[in-house]
Amino acid sequence: MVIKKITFQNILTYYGEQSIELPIDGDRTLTILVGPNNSGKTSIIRALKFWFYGRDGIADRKDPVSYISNRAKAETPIGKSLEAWVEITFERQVKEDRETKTLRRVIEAKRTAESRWELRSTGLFVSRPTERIPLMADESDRFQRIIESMVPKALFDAFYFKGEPLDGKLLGDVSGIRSALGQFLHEDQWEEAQDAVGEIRENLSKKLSKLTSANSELQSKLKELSQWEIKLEAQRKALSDEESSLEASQALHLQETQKLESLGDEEAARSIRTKLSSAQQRFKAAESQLRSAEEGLKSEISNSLGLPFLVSTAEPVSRILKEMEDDNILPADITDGFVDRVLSKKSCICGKPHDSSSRSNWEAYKARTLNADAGAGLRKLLDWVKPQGTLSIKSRSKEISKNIARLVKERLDAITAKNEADTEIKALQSHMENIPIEEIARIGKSLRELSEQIRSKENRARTISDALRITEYNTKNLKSEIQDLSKKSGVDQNAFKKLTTSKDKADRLHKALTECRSRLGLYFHRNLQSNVSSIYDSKSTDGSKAHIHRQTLLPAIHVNGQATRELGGGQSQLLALAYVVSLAKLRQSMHEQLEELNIRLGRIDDLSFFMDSPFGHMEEHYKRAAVELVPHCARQMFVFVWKEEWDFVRPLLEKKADAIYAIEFATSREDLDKVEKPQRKYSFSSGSRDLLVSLPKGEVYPYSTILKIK
Amino acid sequence: MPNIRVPESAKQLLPMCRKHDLLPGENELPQCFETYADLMVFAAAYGYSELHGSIPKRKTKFLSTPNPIDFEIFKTDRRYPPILLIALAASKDKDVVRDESLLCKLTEDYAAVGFEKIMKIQAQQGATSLILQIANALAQQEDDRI
Repeated sequence: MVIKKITFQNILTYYGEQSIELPIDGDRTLTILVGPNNSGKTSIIRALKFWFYGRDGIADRKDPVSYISNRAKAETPIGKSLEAWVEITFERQVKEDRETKTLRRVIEAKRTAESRWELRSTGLFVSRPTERIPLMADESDRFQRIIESMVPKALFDAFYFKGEPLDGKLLGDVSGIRSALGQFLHEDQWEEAQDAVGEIRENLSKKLSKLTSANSELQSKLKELSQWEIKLEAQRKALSDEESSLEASQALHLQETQKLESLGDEEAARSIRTKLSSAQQRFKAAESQLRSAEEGLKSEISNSLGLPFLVSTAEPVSRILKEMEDDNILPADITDGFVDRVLSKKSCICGKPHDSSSRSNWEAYKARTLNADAGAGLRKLLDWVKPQGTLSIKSRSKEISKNIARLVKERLDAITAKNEADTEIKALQSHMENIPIEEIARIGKSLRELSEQIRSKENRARTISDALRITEYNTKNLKSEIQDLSKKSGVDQNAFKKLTTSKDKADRLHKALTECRSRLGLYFHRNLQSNVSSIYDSKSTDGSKAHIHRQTLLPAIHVNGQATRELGGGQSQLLALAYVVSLAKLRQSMHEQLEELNIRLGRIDDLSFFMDSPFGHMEEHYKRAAVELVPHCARQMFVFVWKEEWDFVRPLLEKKADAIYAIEFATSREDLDKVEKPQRKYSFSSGSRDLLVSLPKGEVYPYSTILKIK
Repeated sequence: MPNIRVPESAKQLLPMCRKHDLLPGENELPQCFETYADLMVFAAAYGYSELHGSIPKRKTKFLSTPNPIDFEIFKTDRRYPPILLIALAASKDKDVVRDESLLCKLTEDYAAVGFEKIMKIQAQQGATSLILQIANALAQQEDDRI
C-alpha cells in the first residue's frame, strides 16, 4: 500500500484538522518533515499506529482519551462530547486493479467534570464523500482485517514504520526484523506455495493410493468378468449346439412326418387295428355264445330223456293207470315181496294159520301186485300223464320246446354275429394287407421318440437360455460396476500414468520450491551481504565490517572477525541505513527478476518508510553517507528531522525532496524564551521561518500545526 | 337178471356219450349224454315217436361192446318212468310193468329205431348240425301238436 494523505484532528499535540499529502508519483519519493524538538514529529508516528490498530496501537494501552489534544479538551464544556480522529487515504492493489480508500479512526469522549473525561467510543469508519452520511462504521471489522493484513502490528515498530531505526534498537529487535525480512523474501508465499504443493502431493498420493486400491478392486472385477465371459461363451456355445441339435431333430421330425403322410395316416392304421381287435373280440364272443347255446341244447336234449316224443302216450297210459288205480294196484301200498313174506310164514297176517284158501287168496293177490321199482315208477307216471301240472309230460314238453327254441335262436344269433365278425375281420385284414402298417408304426414310433427328443432338447435349450440370461445380466452388471469404478476413480492406465506423472511433477516442484527457497535465501544473503558491505565497508573508518547473519539475515558489525556492539559515531546508524537501502534494492531486483520469470507476487516495492530523526548522534562522515542513501530507500520515504539535522541535510536533500512539511509548535512564552532565537528559525529555499512560536493570548496548552513548505 | 343191450345202429353214435372212450377211427360227435343208459332211453323215445306207437317188427342186432346194461341201472326216478311209459303205451297192457324182460326188449327195439333215425339225420345234415336237428325234432313235437 501507499499512503496518499494523512489527516488528523485534535490528536496529541495537534489542534484542529491537520493534513499531510504524500507524493506517490515516481519510483522513489522523498517527503521531509521538519520540526523543533518535542514539536510532534513522533506524535505523527503514534497517530498512524493508532489509525492502524486502534486501542491496540496505543502505547502501553493507555486510555485513548490521552490521545486527544489538551487544547481541544480545554475548549470543551463539561457535559459535552469531543471527537478526535486520524484519517488516511491509501491506495492498494486489489488483484489487477488499484483501489483508493479513506478510513477514519475516531475517539469520542465526553467531559463529565473539570478534569474528568469519559470515553464514549472508538471506531473505524469508511469515508464516503459522495454519500449523504459521509461516514459508515466498519461494524464487521472488515477494513480492520484489511489494514492488519497489510501491516501486521508486529512489524510496525520493528521495521516498516520504524520510528527511530538508527538509534541502535534495530539490532535488538530480532524477531520483528526477521519477520519483516520474511516478508521481503515472501517467505509466507513460499511457504504457502510449498504448502499448496505439499497439499497437492498429499492429494495425489491419496488419489494414487485410492487408485491403487481401486485398481486392485478393478483387477479383481476384471478377473471376475473374464471368468463370467468364459462362462458366457461356454453357455452360448452350449445353447448354439443345443439349438442345432434341436433343429436337426425338428428337420428329421418333418422328414418323417412327410414320409408318413406319403404312406398313409397312422391314425387310420390305428383305427383299422382297433376295429380289427373289436371284430376279433366280437367273433370270440359270438363263438362263446354259440358254444354256450350248443351246450345248452345238449343239456336240454340230455335232460329231456326224449319226453316230447312221448307226449302222445300220456292219454292212453293215463287210462291204463286209471284202471290200475281202480284195481287198487295203484298206488301200490303192498308189494309182491310183502305177499311172499306173508306166504312164507305159518300164520296169516290175521293171526290164523295158513290154509289152502288163504294161500290161494294171497297168491291171487300177488298176481296183481307190483314190485317196488315198478310201483315207484308208476307213481311218477301218475304225475306225468296228468293233463296239467308242472310235472306233466305236456308241460315239460312245452318247456323243453320253448327252451330249445330260445337256444336255437341264440345259436343262430351267435352264428350270425360270428359270421358278421368274421366277414369284418377278413375285410379289415385284407385292408391291412394293402397298408404298410409296420412302416407306419415304425415311423410313428420314430416320430414319438423324436417329439420326446425335441421336447427334451427344448427344455434343455430353455434351461441353458435362462442360465445364459442370468450370466448376461451378471456380466452386464459387472461391466457397469467396472465402468463406474473406472469413471469414479479414473481407473485406467492413462489416468494412472497421468496421476503418477503429476505426483512426480509435484514432488519435483516441491523439491524445486525448497531448493529455490534455499537458493533464494542464499542468493538474498549473498546479495544483501554484498550490498550492505559495499555501502558500509567503504564508509567505515575504523576497519569494521558489515556482516549479515546467514540464518537470521540480520546485520551486525564485526571487528577483526568478531561481532561488536560497542560502537559510537554512527556506525550502527549507517549499518542500519545501508541495510535498509540494500533491502530496497534487493526487493526491487527480486521483483523485476520474478516478473521476468512470470512469477507475480504483487507490488513488493509498495512500501513506505517513516524515519524519525535518522541522522542524530552521527559523526559527520557517517551522517553524510547516510544522507546520500536516504532518497534511494523506498517508494515512499518520509523523514522527520529536527533543527540541527535539517541544517546539515538541507543542502543535500532539499532539492531531492518531493515534498517538505514543517511543524509549527506554539508554546508558552516561558518555554519559548529558553530557546535562542536562531534556533527557532528554519531555513528553506522559499525563505526562513520560525517554527517555535508563542501561544496566542489566553491559550494554556501548547499545540502543533502542520505547514506545507514545498 | 335182465339187461338192455345196445343196438348195432348205435355204433357210430356212441361218441355222443361223455363216458365213451373214443376209439381209433371213430369220429367226434357232440357229447350230449352222460351215460349209455341215458342215450338208450332217449333213443327209445325217439324210436317210439318215429313208429307212432307201433311195435317194431324187425329183428334187432346188438353190439357186443359196450356190454349190455344191467336193467337195475334204468330203475331210477329219471330213466324208469319213460321206459314204463313207452311199454304201457306200446303194449296197452297194464301187466307189462311186471315183465322186466319185455320192458328191456321194448326199450332195445325202440332204441334201435331211434338210433337209425339219428343216423339218418347225421347222414343227411352232417355231424355238425346233428344236435340242432335233434333239438328241432324235439321242438317240432310241440309244434305239431299246436
